[in-house]
Amino acid sequence: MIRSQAEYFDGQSANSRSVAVQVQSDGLMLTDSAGQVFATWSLDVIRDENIPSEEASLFLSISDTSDIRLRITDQLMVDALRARCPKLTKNRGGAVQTWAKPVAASVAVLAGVAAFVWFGIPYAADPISRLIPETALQELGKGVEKQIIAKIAKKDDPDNVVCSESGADKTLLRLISEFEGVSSDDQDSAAAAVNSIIVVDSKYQNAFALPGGRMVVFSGLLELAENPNAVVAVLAHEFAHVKERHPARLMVSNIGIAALFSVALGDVSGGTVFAAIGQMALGASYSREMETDADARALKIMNKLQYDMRPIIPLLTELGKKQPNGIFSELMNTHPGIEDRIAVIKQQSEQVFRPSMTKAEWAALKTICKNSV
Amino acid sequence: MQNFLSFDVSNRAVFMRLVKNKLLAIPTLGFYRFWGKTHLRRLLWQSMRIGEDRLTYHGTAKELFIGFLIAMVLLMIVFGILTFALQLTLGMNEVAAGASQLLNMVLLLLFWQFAKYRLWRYRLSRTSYRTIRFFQSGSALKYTGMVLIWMVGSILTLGWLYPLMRLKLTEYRVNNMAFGDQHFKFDGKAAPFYRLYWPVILSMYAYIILPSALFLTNAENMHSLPNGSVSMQDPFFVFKSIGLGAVLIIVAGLLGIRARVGEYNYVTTQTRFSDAQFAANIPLKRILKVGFVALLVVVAAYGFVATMFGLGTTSGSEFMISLGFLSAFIAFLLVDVMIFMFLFIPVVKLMSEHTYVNNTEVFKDVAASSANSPKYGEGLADALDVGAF
Repeated sequence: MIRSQAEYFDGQSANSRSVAVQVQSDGLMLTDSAGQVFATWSLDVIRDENIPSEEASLFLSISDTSDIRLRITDQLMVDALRARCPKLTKNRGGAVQTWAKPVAASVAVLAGVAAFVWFGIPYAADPISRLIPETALQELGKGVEKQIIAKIAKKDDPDNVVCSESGADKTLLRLISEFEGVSSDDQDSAAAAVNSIIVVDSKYQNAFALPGGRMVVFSGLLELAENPNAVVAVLAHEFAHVKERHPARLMVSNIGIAALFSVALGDVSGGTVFAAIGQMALGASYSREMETDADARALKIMNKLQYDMRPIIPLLTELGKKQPNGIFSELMNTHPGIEDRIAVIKQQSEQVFRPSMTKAEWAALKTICKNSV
Repeated sequence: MQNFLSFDVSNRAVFMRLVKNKLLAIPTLGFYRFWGKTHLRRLLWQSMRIGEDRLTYHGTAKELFIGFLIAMVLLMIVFGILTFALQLTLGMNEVAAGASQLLNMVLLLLFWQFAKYRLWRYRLSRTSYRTIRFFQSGSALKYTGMVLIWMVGSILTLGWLYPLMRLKLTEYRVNNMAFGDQHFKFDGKAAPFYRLYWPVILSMYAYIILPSALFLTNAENMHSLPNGSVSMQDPFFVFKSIGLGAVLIIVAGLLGIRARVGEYNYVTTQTRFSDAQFAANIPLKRILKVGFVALLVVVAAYGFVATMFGLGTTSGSEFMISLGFLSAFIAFLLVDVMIFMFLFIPVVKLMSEHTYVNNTEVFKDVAASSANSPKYGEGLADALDVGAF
């Protein structure tokens, strides 16, 4: 029979008293200083509250609701109880059921957050982006454009990489004003105007729209295009982005998502990375919607101007070859799948098309960076 | 006087726990943190002794999680509606936009204070010593209100009410702190707070005055170019400005640390519990040494992250790219662990080594209190990143 002294806390006071404890077949018997047995603890319910556990001592409890504790430091008794109490280090059951409400609540919160992300942010992004003063957007766009140019120029003078040639410049401006002309009827009051379009000397085959109505075309794209209408279609697409204020809306969405993620993921630094990835993925998903929208609008513009949009298809196919494949890059891609885009463009109705520019104009545009100083 | 606390934490156990928390945060998208934090706190609390007895942490992950859900909903509602309404009503002009931003910042600051009080309350109420719980009475809302009023006062007096604000807030916080059925009592004066904080206030002035002075003295060196940019004849002007900025940040930082350490020592020395009188004399030098070492470690860790990230972006081979990014990611995750191990743990050790009490027996004569403890966790605090652990 194992006996030892132990320190008993009644849960009502910080003071403890010394008791004798004895392991018996039906439990742990507690005897006070007068020799009276005042409690017998069933070995099945005894739990050690030292978490993490300590080598040389036990701090025993018999239920989650009671603050009564028994501290045992006698090594023989500690070892005996470790051997005899089956649930010494186990969580008490019964707490499981109480998870039903939290789970329901978290599902509800998650649904709320999801609704906020899928509908709330894109919905709010448009009106909020309109509240940003036009001058601020223009400054922002100018700043980004400057950075891009500086990056392309590297050590070169930034002015040297921006291409300009009077004929080609005129063609670009004519196209933009033609776009303006045919899209004026379905234009809402807050639609943005194109304030600037530049061609940058770079091997990148790309074009994009920036906040504040700025369009940037890389000369690599002009070189890759074999048909003038491919370039015109790209310009119409970027024009649609500008008209619909897509860059500003995307910016607002991204800020919203970033804020949301950083709150949801808390202070885990791994969470920061997830927040960034999540933001990129969600931002890209919004962006894909905008790209689809811009394609549809570009098609409308091209139809009205009687320009053939289909020559953009070989250009898209060519660009598609250079994109990485896989689920991850699909998720992160800011543009919809090439096949889907081509399918939309192929639907352009048969009609009598007009040439979008003369041979001379096309030649001037293609060589804008070679002829400019 | 004898040591009040002793902190005999196993660095290895803490390190393993932190790493485990980090790793499990990845597949769970960070949601393991409620469980991870709870495990970590049990470990830390149990490493803290008063006399011969250890503290026990009673909080559960579920409480933290529910608190987080509440905080999420509250934050979403408050900030969503507020910013949206503000932007819609005030809208267009820049003054209004600035005002709305300022209001948001003030709101966030007040939220943070509110959350901090709730955090103290939660942690204290989930801490027991010899089976008796601590707690924090008082109202978080009232505390936040006090912060707001004193903050406005401090701004209007150009900082000179700030030390008094620290005194008043400490009074409210410590006098509302209780163990069992008895409250702690803090009896402090304003003068020591002013002695600690006057250099901090002046250093803030220097932060505004010196850069403008430097700028003005250099004004004749500058010429406006036709394209609107400004050219300077003194080529070292930029370096001078950066150097001045760095010196000011370091000075303000050191003065701030000095004030906080002094404040801890003073507040502890002016606090009583029943018949026990506390005292503290944490040496500033030791704290600075710990801070310096931690700074070196963090700089080295971030340097490693940057190097590996650079390797990842510039390298040609797939293998090197993945290796670069992977090690940058791992190092990035470990920075938090480093800060905890090299800053937090040593500081707590220093605090326990230099905090004293003249009588530990009084803690044994305390009866349990019937006061309610908060039902939910520290959600707001969690969501707003308040607190080190």
